[in-house]
Amino acid sequence: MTEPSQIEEMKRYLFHEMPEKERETLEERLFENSDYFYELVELENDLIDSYARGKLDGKDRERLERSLAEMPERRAKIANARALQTLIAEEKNVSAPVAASTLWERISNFFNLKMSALQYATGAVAILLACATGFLLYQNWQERQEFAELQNRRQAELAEKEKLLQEQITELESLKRRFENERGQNEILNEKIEEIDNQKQQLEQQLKNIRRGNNQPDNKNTEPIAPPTQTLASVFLLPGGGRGGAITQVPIKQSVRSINFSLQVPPESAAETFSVRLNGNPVAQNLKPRKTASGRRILRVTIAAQQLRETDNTLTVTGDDGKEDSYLFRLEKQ
Amino acid sequence: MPTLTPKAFELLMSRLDSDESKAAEMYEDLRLKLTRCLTWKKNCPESQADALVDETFDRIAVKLAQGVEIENFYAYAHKVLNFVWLEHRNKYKEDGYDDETTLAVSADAVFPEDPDIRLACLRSCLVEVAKDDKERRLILDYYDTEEGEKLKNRRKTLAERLGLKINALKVRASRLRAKLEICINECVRKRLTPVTKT
Repeated sequence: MTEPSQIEEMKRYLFHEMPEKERETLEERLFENSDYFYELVELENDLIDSYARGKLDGKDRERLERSLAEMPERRAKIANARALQTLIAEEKNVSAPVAASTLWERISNFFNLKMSALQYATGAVAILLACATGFLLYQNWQERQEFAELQNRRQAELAEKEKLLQEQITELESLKRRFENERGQNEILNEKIEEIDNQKQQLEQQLKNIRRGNNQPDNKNTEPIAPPTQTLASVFLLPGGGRGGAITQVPIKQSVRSINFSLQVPPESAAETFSVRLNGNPVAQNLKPRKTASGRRILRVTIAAQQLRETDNTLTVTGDDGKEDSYLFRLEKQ
Repeated sequence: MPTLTPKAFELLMSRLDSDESKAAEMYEDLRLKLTRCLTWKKNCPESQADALVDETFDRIAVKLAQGVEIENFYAYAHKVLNFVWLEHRNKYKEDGYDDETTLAVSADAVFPEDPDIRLACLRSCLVEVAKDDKERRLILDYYDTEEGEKLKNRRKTLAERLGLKINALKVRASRLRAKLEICINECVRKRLTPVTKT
């Protein structure tokens, strides 16, 4: 068993009250003597458990608190000890121990006395009673075992549920990012709709003019108009990759010749102008972002499709404050 | 910082003992000693300790591969650990950090706290660390210090009930608690760290 002087030596080591030389000697002993090592581990655990319960005496409490300054991670040990004690207390409340029966003691005491016939008779009744009580206790014990098992299973289920919930939270966060991305894309689509509306109005005006014969269109305009070929595509990108950490896929038609990129500037960026590089090559400088209705800042840059790689591409945006953000995407030609 | 490679680990295990289960037992014991030895030093968080212990094992494995004969494995491991620790400290100082900086970072950033999350983590970690309900009960009973009776007597009774020697029970409980704490700290860290935007 450990002597009080040895315990004090261990405490001096654990509380960092020992000169370096002495520490080294003690450490050597830890490696040579496993009993000593586990004694030390146990002492630290017990000191922390007592501290966590508020039952560590004044001097040791002060010493332990002083050691926290040099071993801040011991705070986690204290917090773990508190959690462990809470759990132990909770479990005890669920299956409170049945008060130790002293029936057997009483019976044996009874037989130690000088017995009369009446005592023997009473003894027999007591034995019967003891058997019955024993049976009841056994039944009670069995029920408690079953209850404890049920409780354990419930706790395992709860832990599983917690894990599931955590996964669902992560999934929801990923969905939130996806919707934010799509909201940005919608803003761009709305702008495009406006542009198309304007074009449509112009064409309608031209048609009216033709019908009226007021303004004769030239021959080119009277030729049947071929279905439009998509040569320009618009892509909205957020800094980093795409949804849930995956790289953003950018589907474009073979006919697309240039891509209009809308890059959302990170909200925390304080820069006012930006330069843009594609896969390390400069494509634009001194770009000023445009503010959308929702207050987002969007940088617009148009890049010829032939400049893009068939595989992964990176647009690097550098602000005038020197901070860089990358926008990763992958082309998917259709 | 290099991590312990599977090959290095294999070599190390074969040197610890030819019997796989005994070697595993010795490895667990030595790893706990090395980790504790580091965390008992000034300003060595458990997260760093783990990496430094891997580095220690790596270097020992390199020496074994070079055919170096190690007489006292534990004493040798302790020496290598001290070298690794000194190098780490010097590197840290070269990078412009001092003890106070480490303290500030460790005390505030490394220790986020939420008792409910910690309790939830303890519950899930108990399921993960304890291999069955017996082990689960062992931890809870061994560290149940609320009772009025003396801790020593209580643990002695527990050892008798489990058919173990008191020292063997102490070792088992200490190892389980160490694993449990690593699991809890990791779980708390994960749950309190915001999901990074991609």
